[in-house]
Amino acid sequence: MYRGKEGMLAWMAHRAAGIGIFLFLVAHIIDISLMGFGPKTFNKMLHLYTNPVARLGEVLLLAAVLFHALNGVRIGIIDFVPGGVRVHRAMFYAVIILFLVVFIPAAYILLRDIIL
Amino acid sequence: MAGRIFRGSFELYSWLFMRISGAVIAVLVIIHLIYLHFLIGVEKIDFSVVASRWSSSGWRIFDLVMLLLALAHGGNGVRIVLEDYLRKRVWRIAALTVLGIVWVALIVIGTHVILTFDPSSLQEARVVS
Repeated sequence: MYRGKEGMLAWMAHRAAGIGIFLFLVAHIIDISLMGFGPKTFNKMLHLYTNPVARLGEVLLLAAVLFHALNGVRIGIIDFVPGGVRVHRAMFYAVIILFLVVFIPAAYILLRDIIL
Repeated sequence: MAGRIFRGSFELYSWLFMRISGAVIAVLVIIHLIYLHFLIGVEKIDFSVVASRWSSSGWRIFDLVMLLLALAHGGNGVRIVLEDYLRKRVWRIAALTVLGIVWVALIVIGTHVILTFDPSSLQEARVVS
């Protein structure tokens, strides 16, 4: 199931999203650790996250987290639910549909103040 | 597989851990995102927001559990990816050593700030803003 179409595509996207989330986690632990340096340092650093490029990054992060979580549920069903592996392809499309249903309105909410 | 670093039943526990921790992290991260990114919003988060959250020990425990599970899950994920693409044993050992050092440093930095943060500095934040 990991060769060729949907299975491999899901596996590749899961890895790419996972690596991306990990890199953000590294940055996020360092930025929040600045809480220990007082409000001036912390607020100055946090201001970096309000620029439009960072706001797009926030939406990209949401996409990565959402896909990784939904596909993670798919992997759990494949591994633990009897017969789950037989519907792995259908579940991949379910992941895509659920992803779009949540992501599109969520991305709009996150970006509405800079789009409008 | 040649050049394998982890032996025995480690990979079985790794496989099981990724599925269990993944399910827990998914729930914690959804709460974290809805609260901070949708109800508050990134542009409104500042020192006093984080400080007032950390004046509650419940949120500190929440953040600590999420931090440690995410680091364990993410660190193990990166380990698996590195072992997949690095064929030579020397490169594997080098990459895993760097990952290990960064990983331990992040656990120390993250745990330290959550556990030692002094909420009385909230007063200071009000004065500054």
